[in-house]
Amino acid sequence: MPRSLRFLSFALFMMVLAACDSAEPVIEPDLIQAEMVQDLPADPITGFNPTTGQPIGADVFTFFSLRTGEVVPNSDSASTAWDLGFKGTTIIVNGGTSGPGAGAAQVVTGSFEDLTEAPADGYATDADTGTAIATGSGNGWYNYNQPLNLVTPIPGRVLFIQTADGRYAKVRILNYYEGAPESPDPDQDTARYYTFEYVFQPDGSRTLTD
Amino acid sequence: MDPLNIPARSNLALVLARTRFLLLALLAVQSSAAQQLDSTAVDSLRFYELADVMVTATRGSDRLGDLAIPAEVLTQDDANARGATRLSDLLGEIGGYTTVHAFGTGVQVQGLGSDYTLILLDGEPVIGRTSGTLDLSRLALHDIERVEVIRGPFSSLYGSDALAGVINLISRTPTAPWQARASARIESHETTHTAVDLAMNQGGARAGLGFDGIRSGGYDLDLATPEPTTPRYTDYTANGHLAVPLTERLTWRVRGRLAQQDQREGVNVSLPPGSMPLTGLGLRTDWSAGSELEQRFASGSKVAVRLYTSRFRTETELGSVDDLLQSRFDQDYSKGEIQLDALLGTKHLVTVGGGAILEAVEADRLRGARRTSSNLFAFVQEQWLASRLFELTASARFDAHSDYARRLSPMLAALVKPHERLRLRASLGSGFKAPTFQQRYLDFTNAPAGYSVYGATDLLASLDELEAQGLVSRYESTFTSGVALRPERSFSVNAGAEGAPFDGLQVSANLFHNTVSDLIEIAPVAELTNGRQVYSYFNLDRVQTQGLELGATVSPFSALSLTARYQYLDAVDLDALEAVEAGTIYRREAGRDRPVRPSEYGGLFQRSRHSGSLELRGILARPDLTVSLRGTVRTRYGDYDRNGNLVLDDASEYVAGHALVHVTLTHGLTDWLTLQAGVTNLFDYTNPARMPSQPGRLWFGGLRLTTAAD
Repeated sequence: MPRSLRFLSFALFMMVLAACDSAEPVIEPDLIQAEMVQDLPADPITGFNPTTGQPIGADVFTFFSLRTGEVVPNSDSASTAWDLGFKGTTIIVNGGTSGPGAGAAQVVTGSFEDLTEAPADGYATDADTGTAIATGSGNGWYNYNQPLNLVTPIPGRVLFIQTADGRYAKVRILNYYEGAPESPDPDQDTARYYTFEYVFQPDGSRTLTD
Repeated sequence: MDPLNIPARSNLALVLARTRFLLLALLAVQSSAAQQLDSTAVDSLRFYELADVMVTATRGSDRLGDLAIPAEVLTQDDANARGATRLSDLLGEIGGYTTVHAFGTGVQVQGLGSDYTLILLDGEPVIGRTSGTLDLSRLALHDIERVEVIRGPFSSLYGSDALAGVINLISRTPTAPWQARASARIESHETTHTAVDLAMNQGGARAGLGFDGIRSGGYDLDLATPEPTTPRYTDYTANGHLAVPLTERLTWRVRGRLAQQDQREGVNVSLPPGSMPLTGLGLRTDWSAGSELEQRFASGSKVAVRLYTSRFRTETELGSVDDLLQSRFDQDYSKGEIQLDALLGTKHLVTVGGGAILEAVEADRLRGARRTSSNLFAFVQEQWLASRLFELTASARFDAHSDYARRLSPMLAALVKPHERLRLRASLGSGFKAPTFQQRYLDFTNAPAGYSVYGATDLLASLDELEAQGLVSRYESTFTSGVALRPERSFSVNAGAEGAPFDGLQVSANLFHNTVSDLIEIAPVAELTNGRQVYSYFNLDRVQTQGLELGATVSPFSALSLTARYQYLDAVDLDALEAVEAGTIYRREAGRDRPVRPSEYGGLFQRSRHSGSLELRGILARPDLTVSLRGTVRTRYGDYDRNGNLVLDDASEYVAGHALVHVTLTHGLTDWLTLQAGVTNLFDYTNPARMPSQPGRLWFGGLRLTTAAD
């Protein structure tokens, strides 16, 4: 190898090393970028029942497609156009009793970044006995703090989703309050606005690298 | 005195044993009872003052130094020197007893919550807990001679609730033929406090009447919230007692108490125009009455028959005129018991007893108009004075309850006195806490917050009803029906030493370890079609508290004493700790989720790892002046989970550690007139966001009148 070429390869090697040293992670070519969804309304509170004081919404789900990254109009609720539906703290999938699709889900404890492959089995779909993503404090994606009246996503809970057409995605809920405040104040901040990130694998495999 | 040079062991044992029965006689320090003790016995008491008598630990009269369990007595002098008028004021200033403000002021003992400490007034239980807290500010100290505290599980003598300890308030025993006392003081927040006591002791008959009243303007620290921090209130306590010797050996005692707190003046909140004005009213009444017949025998044995009844009632209203949330709670407690104390030979003191408790509760939030339950119990205790150096106490109690499983609670304690200036103690025992009425019968729906809570006893019936109406949308996967609620139970070990290395110095140390299992927690059961969550109570958690209690009193001369107390506490939820160690509890940091490290787990909420107190008390004779300068300190403690993982792990979940300093000056102007002024929280420490119950600096000033010195 000519001396100049040898020098060049050495320089290139050093550049690669330098890139590794920098704070920026090395970008792998096959990366699927995590998408961020901000302030997705989930049946926002429109008022309070004058007799009971119970919060009232329009009692409608907001439907979202993980495949297109867009909100699906409610007129398409009976279609396979959507993958997740949000209403209050309830999240439904497009399958079973909730929709005509092949949607299913399971909640796994772990780090969103480290769980790079969707589980092969263990999925449930929505049924009369309960949704695939369990509701209730501590069961699914959130904890409800009664004294503070605060809904907080449980750190380390990753929602693995099978979309309406049977492909895989993973979702992490980041915030339940409008504007995704770092320390939400239930007296000041408006609840029922989801901020979440997700990774969708279009090729049908279970690989969910980000 | 050589501790091994024992003149007549059996004789001494007899004397020691007999002194245990001389309750009233021993209370009067200079009484003939003390003189009956032979000089050896008196000598051995030099470092453990005769006045420090304790009746709680063995249901008999014992000298504090001769107990095998960690115990202490706070005297009327301790309360007076501080200017403490309520039990909450007194305990809150003493290291090792952390007061917690939730539904009243409760106290943590050995790191266990306030619902694990039994509160007695003259040996009989004080009833009326709200969410587990028995509000210690209900208990006025005006007529209380001493507060006895024993630490460790005492279900073996007292049944339910005595897991962490027992606090027993002992009323004053009149000693003078006639005595009258009165006090009046004013405090911050437009608060006035008055107390009057009359007492007589004529021909062996003793009687007393007392009254204590507080009127307070309340205060509001956080103007952003609609309700004041503490609303205006009036609070009074009236009490009376009578002890009549029917024969030389038969005494009849009767006691009564009535207390009421009234917040009916209401909370009228000014809100933005157009919104509904909110009101909040509260009325709390509790009373108790007890009667005891005690027959003493020439042998030194005695038998006592006691009847006791108590009632606790609250009425609250909260909301607007159109939407008023009213709530009523009414609890009855009646107990009959018999207790026999027998001296067997010279070395065995046996106590046996038994009785029945009937309880009834009536409340808006409970299912069914009125619920009743019954509890039969029997207990036995053996105090074995094995030798001059060694004593053993064993006790056990059996409780059979109509609503939950039977419990046998044993306890074993040993005292070793290797040297006259040293006491070594070790005890182990088991305690239990019955499911509360709330945990058994609650039927509560909070529509605005969208949840319902049903007590365990009625959960299945409630769910059947909901199902019949087609309201149940689904059940939680964690819910399994048919599991009966059990009492919470504990196992505890205490081991310690107490000594007086030289005159003027007393030190003590105690290691403790408590494990409480079957903790009753609220958990979701089902979701209704209208989105409402249904909760109930289950035996879920296990907690463990362990630590070290240290105490030292230095009194270089009689006019001055310095008392320091320290507690090291390690309090954890064992299930949470296991989950953290298994790496299944996560936290979010800079957008990434990672497992909480075991070193980050902060244990139970509301617990400081280090806490302590220091009191400097100086008593001058001329001028008659008492100075009490004292402080409490505690390191940071968690209040709520804020990052969603339910465990204490993040800095934002901690309330900052803090120190509070208080000072009280008492000046005896004449024999009958005493002036007092004081400041609590001298440096005005507040933390409105995280400690809304801390009102900041408070001052008080007043006078006491008394017809004769105590």
